[in-house]
Amino acid sequence: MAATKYPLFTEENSVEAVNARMGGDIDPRLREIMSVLVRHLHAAVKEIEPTHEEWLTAIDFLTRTGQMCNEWRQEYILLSDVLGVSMLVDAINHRRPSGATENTILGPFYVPEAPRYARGANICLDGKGEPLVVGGFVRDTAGNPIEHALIDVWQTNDDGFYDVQQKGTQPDWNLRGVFTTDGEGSYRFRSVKPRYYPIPDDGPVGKLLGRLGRHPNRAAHIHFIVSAEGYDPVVTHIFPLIANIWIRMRCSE
Amino acid sequence: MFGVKESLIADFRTQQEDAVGEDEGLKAPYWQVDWDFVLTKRAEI
Repeated sequence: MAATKYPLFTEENSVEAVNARMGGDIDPRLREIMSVLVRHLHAAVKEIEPTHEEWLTAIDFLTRTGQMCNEWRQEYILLSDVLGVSMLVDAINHRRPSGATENTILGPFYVPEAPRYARGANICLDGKGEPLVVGGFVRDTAGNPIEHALIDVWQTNDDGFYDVQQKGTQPDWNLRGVFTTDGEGSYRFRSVKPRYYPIPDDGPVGKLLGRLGRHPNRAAHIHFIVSAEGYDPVVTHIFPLIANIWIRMRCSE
Repeated sequence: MFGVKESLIADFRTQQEDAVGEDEGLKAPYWQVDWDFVLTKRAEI
């Protein structure tokens, strides 16, 4: 038998057989990423021991996930979201000192260049929902106020939709606005109490959630990007504690 | 999904009396939340 340059494939050395075939002159980061992926993927397959039919089901799921994608629908990001990968990547890339506001993912409904408003303005333009006053301070980690910080805010209306999802139904820039902190680092605006809404669940990812006994709803929240000169901007949400059945019942969403 | 972190859960309080002072004109009932943001200097990251 002729000797080969690479290890021959066996169940036991499957990882080495695959990874050894990478070229010597490739991007080292790509080598690292693919080596880890192959190692963990093979470990999962060895633990699961899928039947051929189960493997085909997985291939079919990934195929349908790709076919669901278009210019406005990204089913793979949705898959990343429901598997917790999106939040994990965000957490790894935004490690901050204790006490600093935690980062969350931006989400698909942020629109830059929202209207700038004076302190106390109401960003609810459709008159729906329960009135809400939001106020507080922007500070540094030593507790010092940050003047001229920008608070960029956006949320759904009382029907659970963002303005960009209901063009022609909601007023443009409904429930979006940018506020500026005063000399004490204080901000204040009016809005409405946010409500939960479902992620798109009519595709393969939504069907997977159903088969897993998981609901498709995101907890009610308000989005913020808070930024100031010389500081790391924070992309974050706040979630109402009270009467929020999705936080009460299933804290992970 | 999985955006809910313990430190980001806010206490939305219901107000049963008409607002006075800065929010005057706002009729009860309404909700109120006080929320502070803490930013890190770029060098702290």
